[in-house]
Amino acid sequence: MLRILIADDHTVVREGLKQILAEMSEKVITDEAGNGQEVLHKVWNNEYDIVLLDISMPGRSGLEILKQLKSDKPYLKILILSMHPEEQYAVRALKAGAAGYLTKESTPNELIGAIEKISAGKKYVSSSLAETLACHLETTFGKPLHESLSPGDYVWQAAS
Amino acid sequence: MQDQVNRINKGNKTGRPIFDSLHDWEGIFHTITDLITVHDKDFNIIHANDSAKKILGLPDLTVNKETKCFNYYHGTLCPPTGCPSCDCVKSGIPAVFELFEPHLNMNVEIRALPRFDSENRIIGVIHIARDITERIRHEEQLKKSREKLRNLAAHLNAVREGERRHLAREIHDELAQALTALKMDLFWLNKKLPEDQKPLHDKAKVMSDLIDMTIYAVRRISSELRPGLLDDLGLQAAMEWQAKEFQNRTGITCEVSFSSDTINLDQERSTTIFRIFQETLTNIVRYAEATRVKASLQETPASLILEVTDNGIGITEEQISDSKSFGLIGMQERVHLLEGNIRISGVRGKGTTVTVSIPLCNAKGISN
Repeated sequence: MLRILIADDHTVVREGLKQILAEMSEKVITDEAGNGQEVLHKVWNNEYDIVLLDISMPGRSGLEILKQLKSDKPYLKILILSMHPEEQYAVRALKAGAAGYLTKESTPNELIGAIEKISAGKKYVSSSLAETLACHLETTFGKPLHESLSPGDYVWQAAS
Repeated sequence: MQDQVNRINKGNKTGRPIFDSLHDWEGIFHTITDLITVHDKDFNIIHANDSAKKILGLPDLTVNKETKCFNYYHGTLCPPTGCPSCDCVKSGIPAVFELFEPHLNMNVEIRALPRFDSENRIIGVIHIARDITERIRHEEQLKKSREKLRNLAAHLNAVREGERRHLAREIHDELAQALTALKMDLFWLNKKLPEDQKPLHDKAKVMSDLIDMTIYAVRRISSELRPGLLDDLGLQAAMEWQAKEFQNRTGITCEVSFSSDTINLDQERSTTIFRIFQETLTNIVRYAEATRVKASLQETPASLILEVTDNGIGITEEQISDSKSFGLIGMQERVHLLEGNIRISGVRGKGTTVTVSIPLCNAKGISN
């Protein structure tokens, strides 16, 4: 059984995601949270394998919630689902401990692929994003990639 | 005065030129609207022009010999302490000063010139007082009106920024999220369609592509209004994004660097620096003919320094001071509001550098 918490403030998006995940496998159990506080509350009181976290919910920023979740439960796998394709979001989310970063307009197949990778203990970013991230780290921080990453932090798996 | 003329004319054979000259001088003396009084070294007014006579209410000076200047100018019985005109009588150095004289209910600019006899001894002063009440009033009005305009500009800016933030977020959150959900539903629907119905699958594909394009447009419109990055992730992320966006759009290489990985700023300062950065980039595309831009953001204990340099043709002094350079004026106003400094300098053929420095603690005591 794969227990997934869908955290998004838009009901329509939650419904859509639930539908896709239900189609994916019968072994998926989904739960929902509509705001940051609810996410923290549910994660504290229940056990989940993966949290699908919207990076921009009203109130506390998605990144803050991500950091809080990682400090509460370091082994919880968090896949960021974001409306923002800009790599600046992805870099910061991955640095804060997200297991993967996916933009919401990715195809449902990509989402399913990402969930499978993450539940197998790997990290995920889409192939296009992986490429941009590599360039970004090189140009922005102006130092070799391995220096800006903490050990074991980014074993990126490009999407197949 | 006529006595003097008569006396001089007695000893003068030709007569007319000196008479004419004194006549001219007297004409000028009485026509000037400044208050001109000639004082002996005991503060007595010995001559006065018509204007001074009228405004000071002087008696006939040929009869009345006790006409103390302080009496008429200040309404006092002794010279006021620190009077520069009195100092002039002692030192022989001319004095110019401005003051408000309640006795005359007038702002005056006073010039005191020492008078000397043939042996170079000080015998008094020539005292010229100009009524500058109107000028002072206009200066104050101008100052007030400038302040009002500044406040209005600042207010409009804040309102516009607030509206942009609100609109950008509404558009992004509501429209883009709904479109995303629509896309998911379409995907679900597509899966339910019989596999042999190719036209239906094709149609679904077209619809899905259209949704993608619309999401893209919504994002573009939203980030043009105000990039969500600025509010979500802060100034650095927004500047990185803007630099890349600029590079992709214009082909001009744009590099940004930061003195530290985490510069935490309040929204006002972030917005100011970000908008100035954007405005500078806009100017570079429009006028600079540059191929490379370097921007750096440095945080010192006291201030935040943004420097943007390009390798273009260099901005001219006329362009910097042009009253129609609204972009530059806007930048200056934004910086002024945070009590910072902006310096724009261009070297012909070498490029332009814009340096903005904003204190991290302002007079209102708000720090980040």
